[in-house]
Amino acid sequence: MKKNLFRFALLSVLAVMSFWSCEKDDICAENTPTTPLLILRFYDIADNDALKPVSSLFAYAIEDDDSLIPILGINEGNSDSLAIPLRTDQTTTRIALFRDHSVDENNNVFGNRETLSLNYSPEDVYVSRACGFKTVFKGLLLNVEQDGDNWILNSEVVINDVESQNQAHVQVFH
Amino acid sequence: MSRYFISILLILGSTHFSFSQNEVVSDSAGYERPFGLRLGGDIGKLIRAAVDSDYSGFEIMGDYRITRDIYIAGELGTEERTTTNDFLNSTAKGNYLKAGIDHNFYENWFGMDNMIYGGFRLGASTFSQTINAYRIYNTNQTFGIITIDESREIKGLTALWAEMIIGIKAELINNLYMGINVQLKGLISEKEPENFENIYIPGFNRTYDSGRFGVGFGYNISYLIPFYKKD
Repeated sequence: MKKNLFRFALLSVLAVMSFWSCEKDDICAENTPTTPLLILRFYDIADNDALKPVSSLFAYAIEDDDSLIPILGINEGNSDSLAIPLRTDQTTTRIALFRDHSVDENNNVFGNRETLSLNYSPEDVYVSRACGFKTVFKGLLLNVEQDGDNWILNSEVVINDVESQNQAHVQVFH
Repeated sequence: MSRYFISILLILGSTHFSFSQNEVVSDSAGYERPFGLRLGGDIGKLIRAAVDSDYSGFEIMGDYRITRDIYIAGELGTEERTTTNDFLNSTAKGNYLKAGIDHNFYENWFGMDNMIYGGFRLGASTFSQTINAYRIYNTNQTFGIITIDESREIKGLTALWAEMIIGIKAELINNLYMGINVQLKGLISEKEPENFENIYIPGFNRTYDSGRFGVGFGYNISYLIPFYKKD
């Protein structure tokens, strides 16, 4: 009887320990808010409350050597909104925004290009052990380079601190 | 792997003792039990420190018998643990103290001094955490993967917790004991670092997103310094 009790206790302890060995794997849940994208919405210059799609809209990130890299996750098309990533390791991201965008077989890019400079202070914010850190962008400033043929006629930063991507941060009028 | 090896050793050991008890007449009344200070160390932590490069730690434990079934017990330890996943690499380092009571529920046969016990501890830890490296979690990979490896140490962290402990201690040879135990812990309070959290607390072990609970286990070898014998 006592021998059984001793064994039972021993087995219970071992069972609990072997169970504990299988630790839950920590995976960052897909719906966790992490580093936000910058949301731009495009409005009619004649009616500032009306959304107006841009024909064949596409965007590139401009590298330090002025080369263009296509931004991932956007499809060329007529659209009145755009989500673009900002550089988390720099205070400036330069974006080339094309209206009437097209690419020929030699990878030459055509269309009316606007060059946008976005300046901000990046801050790394802890999310969780599974997701690590995200970057948020404080004090956003937008400059549209004047090139004599601008299709962006006016723009406004409506949310200065890019901390989530639920709302548009920038309104663009054309 | 090491924990299973020790478990097997212990099973073999305890089986042996169970058998030897069969040959002894049960007569717990009138038997003089040893009272004294039992001191030991956690060999599980030592072995883990030897095989796991992300861990170093040591714990000394002691208990003092105050009645036939009640012991004052405590542990004093130091741990350093590095936790790594794809996005975060951090190290917790510090010391801890646990103190409480063990109650022996095992009715020993004549001349034996084994324990199946349940107990309670209050634990406290002072520690630091160092963020060695992290990766920015970004769903858009246009600019590639950005990893920051400037280490940041946050000192002066503290935690307080309560534990329930169950375990066994078996006398291997005269006055030398081997034991295993499991601990269920509940965090009472903690000082959390700014813009981070306590991933691992020395003595408490890893924390969980889901709640304030933690678990732990121990394998120890201890030696009884007998002071006197009493029924």
